[in-house]
Amino acid sequence: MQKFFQGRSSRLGLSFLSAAVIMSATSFDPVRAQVTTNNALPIGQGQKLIRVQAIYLKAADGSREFEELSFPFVLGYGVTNKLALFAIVPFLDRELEADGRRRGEFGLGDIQFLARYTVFQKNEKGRTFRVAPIVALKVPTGDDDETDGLGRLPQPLQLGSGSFDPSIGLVITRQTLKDSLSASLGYQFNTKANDFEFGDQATLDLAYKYRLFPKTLKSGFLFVGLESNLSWQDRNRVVGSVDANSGGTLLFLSPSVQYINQRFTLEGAIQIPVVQDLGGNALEPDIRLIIGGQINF
Amino acid sequence: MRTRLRLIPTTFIMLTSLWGIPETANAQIVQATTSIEGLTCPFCSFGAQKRLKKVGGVKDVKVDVNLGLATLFAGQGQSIDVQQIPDAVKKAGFVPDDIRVVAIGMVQDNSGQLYLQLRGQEQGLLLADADPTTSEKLRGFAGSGVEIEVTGAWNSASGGNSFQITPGGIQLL
Repeated sequence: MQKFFQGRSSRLGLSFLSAAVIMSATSFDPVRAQVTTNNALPIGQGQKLIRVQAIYLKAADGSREFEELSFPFVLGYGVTNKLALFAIVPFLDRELEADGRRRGEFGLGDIQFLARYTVFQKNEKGRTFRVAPIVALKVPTGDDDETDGLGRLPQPLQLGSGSFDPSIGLVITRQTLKDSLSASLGYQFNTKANDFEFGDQATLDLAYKYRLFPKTLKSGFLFVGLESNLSWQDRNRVVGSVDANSGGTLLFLSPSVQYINQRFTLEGAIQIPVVQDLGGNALEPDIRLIIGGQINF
Repeated sequence: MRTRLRLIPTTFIMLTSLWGIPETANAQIVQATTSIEGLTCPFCSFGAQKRLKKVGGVKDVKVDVNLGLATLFAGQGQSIDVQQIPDAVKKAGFVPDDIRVVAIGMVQDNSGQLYLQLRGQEQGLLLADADPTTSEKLRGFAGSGVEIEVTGAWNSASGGNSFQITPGGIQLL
């Protein structure tokens, strides 16, 4: 979600980039067998994986244009056959153009650490159903005090939030040799830093994918899928005051494609906003494109 | 001359070490195939393959996601430690099911009890409760010095060191 408001740093007519943009860039789900949705599939004890995506986000209206290119790297490790740990290390390049001026920054964002534990599973030949809660903590590793020729960047344009933000979630996956269905529920509690507090965020992701090729199940699998990403965000607080031009609800529909073999996956998705109910004069996202892959070792 | 004898698996054959030593530690198991429940995609199967490659005596592992099977192959002159297989599958995040093995040895008769003398080992695997047809064919090999290859289901008896093999075939080497 992206939201802009005419705030304290708007002497030159620039708008703030919304908390939702930062959330979309750094609240990254760690283990997505689907492209935009978490899943509960196992990571074996001692198994490691690396996942990376390139995510392009654009939002524009007549007077403002925001673009963000983010590269979240995910490192996953199976501590036991039920407990998996993840670290999401995002690199961000975000830029806002408004009133004839461009402001932005590139660099490391806030790193998020997650733990996922399988509490229930039912397995049969060629079929599995699993439930796993997730706890996470986003730490302020990104710069939250970047400046340019116009002074300090508005908080939503900073690479980091400056705050420690915990979150909880639950993922459920039902997968067969033919198709897969996953649901992921999450809630992030955002705390205050630099007199700025992003609104808490709740998310609900659903993903269905169907295996197209090969039917003989040799080598890799090719999937097509449809995912939905619903998020709601509370209003931001600036120096204790509620920002009316923040918060709101977004729903994306995301057709996706994935190739999966034993050692690596390749994937792509287009996130199309279908519902946008944002606060005030928030800038609504136009589209988000995702490509990526992961490797086992 | 190689002769392949196909037996109908109607009963289980009990295999037990004669000297009280866990027979799986010395079992001449050259191949083992385990069923895996919960295996639904190739990327997930990597973890199972990785754990199963660490099982004692294993040189290579092939996983068939479609059939939900992993086949382990022993290294030259080595024997697969079948007892480690279920734990390896669990550590990968899946559920182990039936295991079928291929074992090599010579049939011996010890006071009426048949056992499979393992290649290069003093210990053997006791063959017990065989169906009459199977027993007769195995007894025909007893004391002949001829090595045979036995295939069948492997099932660990609860709390003990004895194992059962349902013969799916006997082959002369």
